[in-house]
Amino acid sequence: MATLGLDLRELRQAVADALGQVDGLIPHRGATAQIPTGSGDQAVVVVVYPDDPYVSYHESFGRSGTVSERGAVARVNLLVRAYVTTADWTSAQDTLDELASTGAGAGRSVFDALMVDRTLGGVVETIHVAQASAYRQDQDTGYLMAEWALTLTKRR
Amino acid sequence: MALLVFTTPDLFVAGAEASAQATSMSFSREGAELDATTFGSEGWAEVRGGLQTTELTVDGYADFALGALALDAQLAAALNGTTEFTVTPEAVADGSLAFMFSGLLKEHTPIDGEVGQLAKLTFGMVGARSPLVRGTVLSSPRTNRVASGTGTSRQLGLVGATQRLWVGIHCLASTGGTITPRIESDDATGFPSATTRATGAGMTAPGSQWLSVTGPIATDTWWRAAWTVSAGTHAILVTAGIQ
Repeated sequence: MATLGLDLRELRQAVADALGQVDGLIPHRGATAQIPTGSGDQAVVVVVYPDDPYVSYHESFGRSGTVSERGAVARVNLLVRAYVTTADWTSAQDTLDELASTGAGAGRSVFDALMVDRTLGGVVETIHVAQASAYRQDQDTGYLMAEWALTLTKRR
Repeated sequence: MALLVFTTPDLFVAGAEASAQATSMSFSREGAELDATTFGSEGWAEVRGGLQTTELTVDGYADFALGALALDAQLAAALNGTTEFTVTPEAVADGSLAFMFSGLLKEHTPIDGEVGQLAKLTFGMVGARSPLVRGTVLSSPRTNRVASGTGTSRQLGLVGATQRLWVGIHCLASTGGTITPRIESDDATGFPSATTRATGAGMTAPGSQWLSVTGPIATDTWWRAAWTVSAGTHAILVTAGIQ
């Protein structure tokens, strides 16, 4: 059972920590001034952003939890965005494919990294990773990127 | 209480609290419409009220984290038998409004859903010789009972000759001893000469019970919950209403 309370910063940090277990990923729990900050073909910056709607407070009846009451179910939507350099386009696409892969042979899977512990260390009730986007070029940075949509369920 | 955005009711069934798992509920009372039309009805259909029924449906999320105390476990144990249900429109507290009844737990779907969605549960009840009672909380489960005592007196009124005082009791937690709830009445708020009107069974584990006191009670308008605790810690909800 996860802890009570809804600390959004803690949730984004927990996702970043889980992604930090993937070799070569440089996770940030929020936007950074420079993207990417890594170097080399294998260095990938991942940033955990709020998705829209960010927080749904009333997914069940109930209030914020106390010792004698279980907290109401809340839902938090996050977006994990991975950026890779485009010095070598083929390599960039291969890297994002590697991150979007799962299961045997996928040593750098974002999905698998988040599924290892669905409570993210006891921070949430459960996490659901529904889909990864197609990769595309980020208009602001010029880097190639892909996104993963996460839904975190938590008692507040 | 003004208009209500329905976000924070408290729901109790058997010996479990369903508040933070439930996502919707429907609680209705309906009387059968009996056709009584005759030639003497002067061209209009004529009906009479027949048997009344109370029905409840609750939908929510499945959550098995509490083990034997989980809503799922309580419902599984109570299925196809009579149990009790209480809802307070807002946070349960001494003196707050409550709606309750005793009924047959006729339906329990412990887990249901689609891939990628939170697993859901559903349960449904139908009244068993009990009305849907509009009552008052006489003891809140938010305060643990560790010694014998009484609740705050509430002026619920007289019980008419055709009425009853209905009492719903939910024990949500009980460790280390027995708690025996009862209902007392008096003609003054200070209870100078309390009369015990009903005594429930001693409770040593989560569960619920339903009591009724037959009218008339023409002298006492003040009512309160009372309890005897042998030892241990207990969380009980006691509600009462006259109908």
